[in-house]
Amino acid sequence: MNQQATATTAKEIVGIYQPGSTHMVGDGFPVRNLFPSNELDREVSPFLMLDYAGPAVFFADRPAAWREGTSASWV
Amino acid sequence: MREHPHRGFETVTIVYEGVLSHRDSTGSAGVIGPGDVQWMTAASGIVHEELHEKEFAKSGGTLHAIQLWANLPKASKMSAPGYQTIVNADIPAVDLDGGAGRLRVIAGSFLGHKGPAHTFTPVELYDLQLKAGHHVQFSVPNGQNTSILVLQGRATVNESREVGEAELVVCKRTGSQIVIEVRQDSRLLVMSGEPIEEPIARYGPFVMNTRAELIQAAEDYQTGKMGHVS
Repeated sequence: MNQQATATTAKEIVGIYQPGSTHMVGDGFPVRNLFPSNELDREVSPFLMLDYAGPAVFFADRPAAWREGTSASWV
Repeated sequence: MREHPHRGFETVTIVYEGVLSHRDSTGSAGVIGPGDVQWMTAASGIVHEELHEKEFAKSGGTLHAIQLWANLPKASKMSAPGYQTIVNADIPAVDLDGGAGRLRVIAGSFLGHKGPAHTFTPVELYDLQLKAGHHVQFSVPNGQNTSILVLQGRATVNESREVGEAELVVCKRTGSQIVIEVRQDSRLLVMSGEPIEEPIARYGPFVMNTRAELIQAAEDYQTGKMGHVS
């Protein structure tokens, strides 16, 4: 495939993924992970991790802390 | 989250609703709210904490945010850490033809509008809002990995099935053209970047190239070489 051809070629879809895991962060706030769960690695390089937080409503009487991360294992 | 370290990559936090605050071992501190982006280059090491901003925590409300990690090439993993706090007003918002919607260029470029984020490798990062019944067509450099997350609404990407909230469309590296169509008002995050073809050794908050580098990172954190949040 030459340069010219690829510049106008539509990108093909590898796949469509739903959140591969949900983890609780901070003091109890669910975050949905799209990768590296879903076993996405080379397909998304240079990106390593994508967490989608919310939309979630917080109430003032709940302790609030937000953490990032790929899993709860290193909290 | 309480104090924790990072080494070897960057964290990109995009806030859509709510307010977050952060503090770190370089003495940097700040607050990001709706439309703002914090691009943190952990590189050789940063220790930080992220919290709901104090007033936001007190009043409560909706939090809607993304965190994306971007790898650093081997040559930059031990560079000095840094922050780019990119406020809403600094992000070009491009009105799409025919009233189709609006595209905010966080990194890379779109129709000549350049995003403010400095990146170590080529990256395109767009916050896209499309109106019902409209579409947008654009190209990304051939060879980049491109993925698209639907935040709100439903969309079709390059004639895929319709994808909904919290679904991710992942595209092949070859090719350039992307067409996104929506039947209802939708918001999407477009992430594209040149792959970094280097070995990855990963343990929690450290992403390096070898196991020895991971062990070194853990030691450096434990012995305080990455500092602490003051």
